[in-house]
Amino acid sequence: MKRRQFIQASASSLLLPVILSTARGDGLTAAAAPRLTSRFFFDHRFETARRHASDRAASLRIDAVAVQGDVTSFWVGGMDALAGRQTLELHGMTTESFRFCLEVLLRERSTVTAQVSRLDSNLLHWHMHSSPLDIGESFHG
Amino acid sequence: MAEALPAGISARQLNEALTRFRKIVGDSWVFSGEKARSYHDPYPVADDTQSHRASAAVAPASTEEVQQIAKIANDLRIPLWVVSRGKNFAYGGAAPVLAGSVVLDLSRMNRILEVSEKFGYALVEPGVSYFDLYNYIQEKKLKLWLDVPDPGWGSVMGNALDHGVGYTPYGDHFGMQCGMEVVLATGEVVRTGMGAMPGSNAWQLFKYGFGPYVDGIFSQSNFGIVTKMGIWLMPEPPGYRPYMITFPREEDIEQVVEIVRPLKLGNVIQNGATIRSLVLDAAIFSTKSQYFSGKGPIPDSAARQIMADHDIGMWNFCGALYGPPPVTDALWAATRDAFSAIPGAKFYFPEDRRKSPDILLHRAETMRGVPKLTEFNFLNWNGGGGHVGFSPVSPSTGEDAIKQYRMVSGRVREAGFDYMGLMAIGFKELHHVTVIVYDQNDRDERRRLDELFRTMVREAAAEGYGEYRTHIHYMDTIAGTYGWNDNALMKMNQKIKDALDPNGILSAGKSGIWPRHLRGGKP
Repeated sequence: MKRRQFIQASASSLLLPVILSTARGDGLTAAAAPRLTSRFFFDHRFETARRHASDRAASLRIDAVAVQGDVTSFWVGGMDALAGRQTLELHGMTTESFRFCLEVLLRERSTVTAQVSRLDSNLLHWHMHSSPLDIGESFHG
Repeated sequence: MAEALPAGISARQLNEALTRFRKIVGDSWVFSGEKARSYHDPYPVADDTQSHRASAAVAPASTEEVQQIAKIANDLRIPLWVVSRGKNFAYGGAAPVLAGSVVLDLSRMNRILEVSEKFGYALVEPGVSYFDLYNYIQEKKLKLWLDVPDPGWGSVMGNALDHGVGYTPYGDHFGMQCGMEVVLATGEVVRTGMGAMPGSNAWQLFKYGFGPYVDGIFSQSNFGIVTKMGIWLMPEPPGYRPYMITFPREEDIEQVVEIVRPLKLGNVIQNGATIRSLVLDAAIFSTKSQYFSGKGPIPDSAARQIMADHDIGMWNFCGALYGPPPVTDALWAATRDAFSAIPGAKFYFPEDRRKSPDILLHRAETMRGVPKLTEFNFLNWNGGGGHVGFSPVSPSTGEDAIKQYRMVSGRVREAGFDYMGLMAIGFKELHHVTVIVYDQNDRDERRRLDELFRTMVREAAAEGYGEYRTHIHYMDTIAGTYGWNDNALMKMNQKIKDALDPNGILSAGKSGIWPRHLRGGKP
């Protein structure tokens, strides 16, 4: 498999849980057509995150996305392009690596306000609001 | 909280500088107050959060703007701290050594100026990331591979200038550098190597040019601002086979390194292979609490469970074979024969791994130059997020490897942390990189980390092991260990500093090199 296909496949696989869960009807999606500007990320390795994901996503009326620690595929698979163009409301119950990397990457494309609180030794509960930088070029700052 | 001012600089002077900077780069590209927050070290080691706090930042878009900023900084004696993309996490990120410095953020200078598929090189500006260059190569369908560090979001130039390493045969990043353009502190622009000859077509082909080879003095230093750099790229090989060999015992590291050395010197091991420890590899996909809920380092029982769950060893050697099948078959036969001498060694190709995600599947991407952020998963091991790299270099002998391992792991575990180290295989040396992960919000843990780090530096230096790179908080400490002949090297560095940057405006304290007016009693 060529390298580029690998990354694209991984990104697609991250979006799949949203689509599949619509079919399962388990309440983890709010709509058949996911709104890409809002997401609730949850680390599916941890029971606390799984348990809270559907309730939190439903209460926020946004879609939930199952992730692990690595933000790479998600970022290169679409979030990078979105962050420079749209306002994003992102919520999560994830580990530090996902939160940290996502926040740093978002700050290259947008103005970010973030709130974080620790749930347990593994998980953080966070919210990030990002608005594209009001200039004509992206900034790797 | 008011931002720290640079030593000897008033608020009025700083504000005047920022006003003049705005006239050069525009209002949007000067950051102060809350907007300078992204230049803070997200994982500070020091208790005093102001000790490495930038006062502001300015982001130019061109060499000409850099020249103008340097001239203003000289006029007003404003200290600048130069960053390419500021992603030097584990070593301080974009934060300066000298509190109150204005960060000169070069990340807007993100043009890929040239890529030659014929010769295998790129000419890049400081803001070009590994992701940028990788995407460029893919979009143009060029038959070239990058060499990437872990993680891969940093600057191609910045990583090379900080002596970073990667994992393909082109893993010595500064060794792959060829030609640079530098803005001196006083605003002049210099091109090195063949770039000093007008009309030369070999700037990125021949490193040395004519006369003294000066490129090295702009690495890990504060002698100038590099604004363009050539980097060699590997031609896409006709075949690629990553592999992993696991070893069951801690003491195996001695025999592993003794086997690695002749294979590396003989080019049987072609790439920047790594020997990674159990916990470091476990941390890529697991967390500590999944195996151990107590305090301190994990016990042997947890280590054995991790080995079983992840099908890895106490040490995991990840390498790769590059070339057509007849070549890689021969290289693999020699590699397998050599490592079979170690009892319990197991050999894997990606298709042999049972689970996903998996450490070999992850390393397989890195060893063929795909930039990723996966390695940052180690932050999750104990959840604290803070991390510092301790990185001494040793000869590639088994004796030195086991000695270093016992020294470092003993001290790390004694201080209550888990040993998370790897040995990166250089040409004739090992980079023994140990990541110490700590809870950044736990003041006692930060204190223990600081004591641990200073102890390890001292003990390593006593054995002749020096760090190749370090965190901003420890630059003076590490520089002090390179004190042969009454600190002759530092004295020479200071003479160069005074000559090239007489007003001392560039990156004060980088690698322990201070401008004259801030040198105080330092050697």
